[in-house]
Amino acid sequence: MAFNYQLFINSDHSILIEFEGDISENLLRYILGAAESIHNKSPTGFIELVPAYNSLLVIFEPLEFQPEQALSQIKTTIEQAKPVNAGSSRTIEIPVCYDVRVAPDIDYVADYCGMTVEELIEAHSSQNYTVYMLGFLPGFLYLGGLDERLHCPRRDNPRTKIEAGSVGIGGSQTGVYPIASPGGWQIIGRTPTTMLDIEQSPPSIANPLDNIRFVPISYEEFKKLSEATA
Amino acid sequence: MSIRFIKAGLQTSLQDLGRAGFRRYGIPNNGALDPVSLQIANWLVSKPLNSACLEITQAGPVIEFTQDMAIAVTGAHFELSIDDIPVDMHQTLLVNKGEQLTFGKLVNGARAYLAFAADPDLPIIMNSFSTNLMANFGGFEGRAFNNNDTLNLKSFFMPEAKVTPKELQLQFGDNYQIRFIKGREWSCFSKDMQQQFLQTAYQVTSQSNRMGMRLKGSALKTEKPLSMTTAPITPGTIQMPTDGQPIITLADGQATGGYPRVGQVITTDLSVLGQLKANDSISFQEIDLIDALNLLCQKNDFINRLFNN
Repeated sequence: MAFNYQLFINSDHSILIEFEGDISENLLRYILGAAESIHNKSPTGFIELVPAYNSLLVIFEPLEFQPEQALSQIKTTIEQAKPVNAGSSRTIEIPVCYDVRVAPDIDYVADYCGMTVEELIEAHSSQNYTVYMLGFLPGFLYLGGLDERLHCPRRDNPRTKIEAGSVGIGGSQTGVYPIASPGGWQIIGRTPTTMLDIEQSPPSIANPLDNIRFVPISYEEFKKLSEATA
Repeated sequence: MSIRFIKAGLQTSLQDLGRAGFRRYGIPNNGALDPVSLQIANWLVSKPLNSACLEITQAGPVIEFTQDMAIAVTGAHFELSIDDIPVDMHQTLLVNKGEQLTFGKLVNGARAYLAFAADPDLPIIMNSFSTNLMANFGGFEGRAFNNNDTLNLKSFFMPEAKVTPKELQLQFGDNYQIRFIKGREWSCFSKDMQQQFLQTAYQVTSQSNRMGMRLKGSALKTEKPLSMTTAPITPGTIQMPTDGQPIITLADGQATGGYPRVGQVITTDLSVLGQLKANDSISFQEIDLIDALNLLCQKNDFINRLFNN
């Protein structure tokens, strides 16, 4: 393991692994490699793993949790873990309509960032984003790679309902609301793509390390594609 | 072969012991907030203990049965009646075609569980019948029941009649001590703040729901705001947002969070959280991991012994 890490008892049925070092794709490949080898090793009572930016949670069946044994098994496993291969990641294109009819905050964000709406769309859709982790909402992708010129604070008054598929910017992050939910991000577009499909395994459109590209579409295309997926 | 909701109640949803294995996709466990009461209900109708039940919240439903059926009700203490004749909880109940079960006054607790000697005629989503109310999948159309909904059932059978052992006829108070083990950021709080956390009687607020229990009490803050990186959380994680009022993650809570983790409620005490409602009070007691695991074993042995007798 090329990164230093520490193990913590997180609860009476889970162990938290925290990795040192800045959040990066390289660290992510090591975290996912550790996750894969723990999954393969499957310590006694193991249920599931939750990888995150710089940590990894290993969850056990509470009645079968043997903390000492689990700690030592995880330690041994991580020592031998290899980073996952970057070549296994996919590039997923997500069509996004940036029309003001589905992008209520796009004028505000463009103004805040000192650019035209066209420049904002160009900047947001020309980037390759990396999926770092999932969480917050079912199927929500935490993406890295937002152009610094597009960083914009959250809304002062969060909305009580944001439509599923809404594409937003919150601080230094950008992402897609996979389901309708309350939220405070600035909404700059909407995708007709289903981000969470409970019939599929896995149910999310992407996994950590996958690349996301936002492809601009017109309002008419958005309407047509929305009807097709409805 | 169905039951019909003449009145749906405040929040009545289908839940079992939930879905494990999907947190990495941001999908929480879901499932009964009081899994112990759910298991007792299933035991009373001789079903596998993880079977789906109706989870009934604070204001209960009125349910009509379209055929003879065996059911059982456990958990929060409601005044129950079948066609206006009072009946007791904690036993196998036989209802006849056309009869109505009414959940009357709530005496104590917050959530009751109704088990039936039949299976829901619904798809199993990600290994579970549990309803994900946030993303609207699982259970009945991914939502809580509304007035006039009909839940279709199949695979009826007539179980032997049972009564819940006295020791498991749980009654709930409005004041609990909840045990926890120290969380990752516990040591980021000063000794004074830690003491204050342990000595405060927190009030459950009305903003609580199946995602999280929001508490109100003396505010707990670090000297400087901590710079936190989003990290995994689980049911039982006690988070401290910047306003210093704790939130305990529950079964529908997010898979990841970004607030300091003060502690983690022990698994043994999670089921009690499901029976608390607004204005109830809780305080926190810190215990170590070994004690937490021993308590869980003891509780499990206790329940199994009663079930097997």
